[in-house]
Amino acid sequence: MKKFKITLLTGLVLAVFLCLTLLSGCGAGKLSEDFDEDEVKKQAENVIEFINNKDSESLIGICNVQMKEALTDDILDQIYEAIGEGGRYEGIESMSVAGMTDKKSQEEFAVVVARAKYEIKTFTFTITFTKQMKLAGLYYR
Amino acid sequence: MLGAVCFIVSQPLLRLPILQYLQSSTDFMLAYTLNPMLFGILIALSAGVFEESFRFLFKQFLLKPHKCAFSQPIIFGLGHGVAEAIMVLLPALSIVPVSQLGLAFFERVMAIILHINLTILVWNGFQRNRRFIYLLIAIGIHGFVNSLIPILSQFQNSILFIEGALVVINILMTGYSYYSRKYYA
Repeated sequence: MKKFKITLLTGLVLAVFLCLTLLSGCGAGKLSEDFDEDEVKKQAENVIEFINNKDSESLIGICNVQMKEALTDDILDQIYEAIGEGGRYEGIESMSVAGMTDKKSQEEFAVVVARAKYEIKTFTFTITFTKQMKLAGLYYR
Repeated sequence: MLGAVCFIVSQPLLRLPILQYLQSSTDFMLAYTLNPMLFGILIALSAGVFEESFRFLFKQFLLKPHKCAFSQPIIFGLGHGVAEAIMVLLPALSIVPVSQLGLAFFERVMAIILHINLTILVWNGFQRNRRFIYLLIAIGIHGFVNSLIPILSQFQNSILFIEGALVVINILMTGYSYYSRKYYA
């Protein structure tokens, strides 16, 4: 009986993390057929390259209207400064892509999470694209 | 002291490194980004599973005899809660002046009271020979309280709602703890 309880307890702990792991495998939405996964990944790499090179013109050039308004010079400077603290860019460690539909507008997006390694630290970028491959969201941590 | 060790084993040594490992996976972060509520609740529940299970294991294997005085769970829960408070508040103290940490101190006091009440609940299972049922109830309450953060944080004045809910739960649980004194020698 005692063995059974301890096994059950261990099972409980493992179940929560198995749940989290499985959900992370199938919890993300399927990418709409209107997107090309390779193109989405390439565009995400471009976004990170633009940020690394402080290339505001190219970055703003691929933004949708809302992002163009949101990414003011001050905001861009803050982004460049924060990412600059990571040191020299070394490359992308891993990247995952999924689809998402906005509940209000029913617009479909492609969402990319990319782990980018820099000399001092690693940043996780969350980048969102519209069907026209315009940048619709950018978040990093 | 054992209460503090229990916290250190269950959180900084086990749960937090596992969560950190999961967060380094882009698949996990993508799923979390797209389902923040579901993952927030599961992560909150995992805190309940780890902390309550380790409380249970410490009582099962390190604190004998199983029947004890009412002061034992209070002291154990206090050690657990204070260790957590130190881990949460110390980094903040180096950035923010003590005078601006009033709400944080209040929240930690509430968390310590909750830890004491949850320890009494787990210990009640040993006193009443219904260990596993009480453990599951403690996991459920702990998970529910932690889940209030992702659930309520989408509302305005969320901090007030969360702290208010914590106060109400603590009042109810302290009443129950007071009532359960009769299970002890």
